[in-house]
Amino acid sequence: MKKVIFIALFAVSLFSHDLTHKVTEQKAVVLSFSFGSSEDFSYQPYEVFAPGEKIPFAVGRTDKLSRVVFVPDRAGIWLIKVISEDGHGKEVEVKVGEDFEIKEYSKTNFEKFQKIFVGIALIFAIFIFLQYFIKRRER
Amino acid sequence: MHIPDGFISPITYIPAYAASAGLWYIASKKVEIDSQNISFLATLSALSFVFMMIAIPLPGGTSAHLSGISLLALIFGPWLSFVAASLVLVVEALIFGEGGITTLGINILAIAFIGSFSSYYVYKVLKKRNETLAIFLAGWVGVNLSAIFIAFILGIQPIIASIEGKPLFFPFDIKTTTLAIMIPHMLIGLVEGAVTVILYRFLKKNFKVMFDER
Repeated sequence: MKKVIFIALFAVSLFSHDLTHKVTEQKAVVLSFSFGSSEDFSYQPYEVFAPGEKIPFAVGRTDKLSRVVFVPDRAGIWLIKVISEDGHGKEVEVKVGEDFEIKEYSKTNFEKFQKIFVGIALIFAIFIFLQYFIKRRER
Repeated sequence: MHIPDGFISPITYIPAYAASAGLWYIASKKVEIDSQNISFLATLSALSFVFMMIAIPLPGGTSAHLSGISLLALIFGPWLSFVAASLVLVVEALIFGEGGITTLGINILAIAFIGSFSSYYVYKVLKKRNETLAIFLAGWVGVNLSAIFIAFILGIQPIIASIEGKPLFFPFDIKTTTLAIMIPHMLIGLVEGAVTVILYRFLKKNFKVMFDER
């Protein structure tokens, strides 16, 4: 009897080391990286830092589609670092809201100023047309 | 400062469109520009566009932007400045959604017309006393008179467009809009005045040809 009880207790302790799992749907933050052409940034190392943390919340490699995907557990500014072996890399800050929605994220200089670039180009284009018509009239 | 769509009643924006169209017609008769000056006008119009797209944060969490219209008015005169600034506002509204389509006429009247003419005449009246002060005040007054007009147009909406006391468009009264708009613009006017002085002096020193022909 003692043997049976011992084996039963041992079996319970075995169960306690079984890795359980569950599958849920959650809001994830997805960052896609590229070099702006067909060159991708797949399978490159990344680190994700929670707001104010020095130890990474997640580490891994970008997926086949050059993405970093993580599920934040708190609001604040999350830092994502991607670094490739050939020296390319980037740090992106993502501000996550109370409902885990993306409030804002650090944009590239082109994204920040593209409105201004396009606007300046348009205004100059209009004036170039104007100059063409005035020159024709002056002739 | 640009008023977006949905804030203003048709009873306000339709006459504003008509007034703007009338002013554009008068401008087309009055404005004369030779092809040599177009590059300068294009550059300063582009600068005005850039100024209008950059929001400067102000105490209290609000922001405002410069316009560069006083500089256009002082160098090219009020009518040409009006045309160039209108063009900038049309590009902003149609391409970038900065300011509404229905409210374009009001924005043109406030920013391009009032901004250009008030800046020009302030400068003209005061330049003999003290030119630097005249340029500075041209910038400050241009921004603030435009802002007063915007505050007025927004503030009268509850009076002229409401059903049983419920506003159909912009809901805040004129006292609220005046305070909310004028306090930031009185501050931004100081920056506009300073920038106008610096750029006017710089251009007069380095691009004398722009001033010689006037």
